[in-house]
Amino acid sequence: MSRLIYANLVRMIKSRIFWVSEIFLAGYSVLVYGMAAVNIRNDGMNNFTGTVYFFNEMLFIHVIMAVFIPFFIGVEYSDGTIRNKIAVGHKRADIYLANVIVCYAAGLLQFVTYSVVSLLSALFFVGPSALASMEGIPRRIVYSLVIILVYAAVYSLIAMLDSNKTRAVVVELLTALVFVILITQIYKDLQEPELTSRVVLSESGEMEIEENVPNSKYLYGTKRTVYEWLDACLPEDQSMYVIDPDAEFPLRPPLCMLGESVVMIAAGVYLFQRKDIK
Amino acid sequence: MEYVLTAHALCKQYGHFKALDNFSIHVPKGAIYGFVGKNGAGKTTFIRLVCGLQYAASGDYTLYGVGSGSKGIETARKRMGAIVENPSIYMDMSAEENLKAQYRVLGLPSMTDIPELLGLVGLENTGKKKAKNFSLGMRQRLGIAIALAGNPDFLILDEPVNGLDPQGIIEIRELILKLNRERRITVLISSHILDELSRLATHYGFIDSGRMVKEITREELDAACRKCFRLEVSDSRTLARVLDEQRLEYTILSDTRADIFDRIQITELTLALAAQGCSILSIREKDESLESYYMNLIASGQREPQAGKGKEESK
Repeated sequence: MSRLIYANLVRMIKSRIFWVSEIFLAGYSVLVYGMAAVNIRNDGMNNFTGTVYFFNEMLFIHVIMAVFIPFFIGVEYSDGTIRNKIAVGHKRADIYLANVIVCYAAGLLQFVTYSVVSLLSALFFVGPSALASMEGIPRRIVYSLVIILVYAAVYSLIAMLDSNKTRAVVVELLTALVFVILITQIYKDLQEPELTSRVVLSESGEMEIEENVPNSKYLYGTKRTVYEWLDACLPEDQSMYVIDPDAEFPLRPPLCMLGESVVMIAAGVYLFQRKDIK
Repeated sequence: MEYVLTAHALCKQYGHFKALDNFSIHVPKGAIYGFVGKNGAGKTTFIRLVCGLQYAASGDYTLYGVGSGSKGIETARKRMGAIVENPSIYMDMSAEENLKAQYRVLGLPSMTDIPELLGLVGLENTGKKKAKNFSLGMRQRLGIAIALAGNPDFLILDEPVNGLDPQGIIEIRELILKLNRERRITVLISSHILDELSRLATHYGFIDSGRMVKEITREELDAACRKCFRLEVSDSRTLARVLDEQRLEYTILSDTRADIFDRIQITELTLALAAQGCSILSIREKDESLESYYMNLIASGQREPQAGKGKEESK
């Protein structure tokens, strides 16, 4: 398998779409910190949240991977070169795993590029104070690495099983969109407090604020458990925590996502081994 | 005889369509095996199975004696190079980059023989030109070069001359012959361009509706397609007597028809037959080609062509 990984890595490094994504991420990072500098000049550091800027790419890296992976893997199908690998005796499982590993490596490189450029941009545009406000960086990085692994596993699965490159891109972008819609609702519902306050009209006819009233939007019982598991398993949901300055980082989400990745990869290998290739 | 590739009772179905139906094949070592069949006959399906791209519903094949179901089949495939349908090349890479990519896939430590390989297929002067800008013939030749990476001793070429201009066809033919003669590479070549195949193949396999109709050597085919005169006479028994007297080689096909394989003096034969009360109704020079042999074979729906049958009935 090492031969396949090496061959794929060389192809990835020479891939135009990979460099386009790298340049985009670097440019985006510069732009984000440039805008941050303008905001700081107008409003001071009060509204500046370091993690939101430094890990901002985690909110859309799934879209970049959803475009890069089907193009990178899809070329193997559209140009037919995947046949060369099978015909010369490579095991299908090795071919599949090598592709997942290289797609993950591409995701990591994209993450590293954004982080390095962000570091330099933060120091250049904002100064050392931009980094001082960030807490829990190692945990955020670990979370990010696991999130990228889930994306690599999911998008590689789709790209390896659908030999049509264009269709795979569309399916992956739709998947990314579904992720966004799902997390928006789940994240919002889970953030609802259990107790809230409300304004009531007293008997004397005055408006009063009633504290610690049960919140009707708060999720209870099985529904909350399901939402919490979904929250832990959906990488896009966890990306929200990566940028959240006050987030806690329990062990369950990364373990869930690791398990999810293993299941996706195992399912992909199983299905790819049975796939008829033309 | 030592076989590189054999298949036995191989079946493959796409939905309700039987692409391969109890298919068998025997490709001898050192041969250029012409795999003949019309579109949809099952040629590419079989090649896909051998290359591991698809799986058979039942039956098996052996590659260098290793069964398709055994664990060593992937290792056996390392001795093989293949082009399935279209050449499998990265379109946004040059010829050299494509070969380097394949060398990496194969894990070959040295890339020093890439220029030699490019020279062998006549692509040594393509420089940085990308494969997407290559002509069809150049792509085919690059596909062959990729299939040759790693020095395989068995090459599978699926329709390698499809869509090529006459010059391209000649180049591919000469390349295949060179590989077979100089490098002793066994070649399985599928095609429906029979005239071209007849210039190359040492063995033939005729496939129709997913079944192997007949396997034959070039010598057997030459014998079956032998140049002759086909005579239609009023009585073939009289004709046989006269031909025996004149010591000519012949085959009686029916009560009124016969093939004569030697040169004949028509006047002399006509007079001899007339003396015995037999008249010649027609004489036709017959020079059967691979194409007509194939057409006969498929049209008859039998396992033996007309000419072959006649020969078995000869004296």
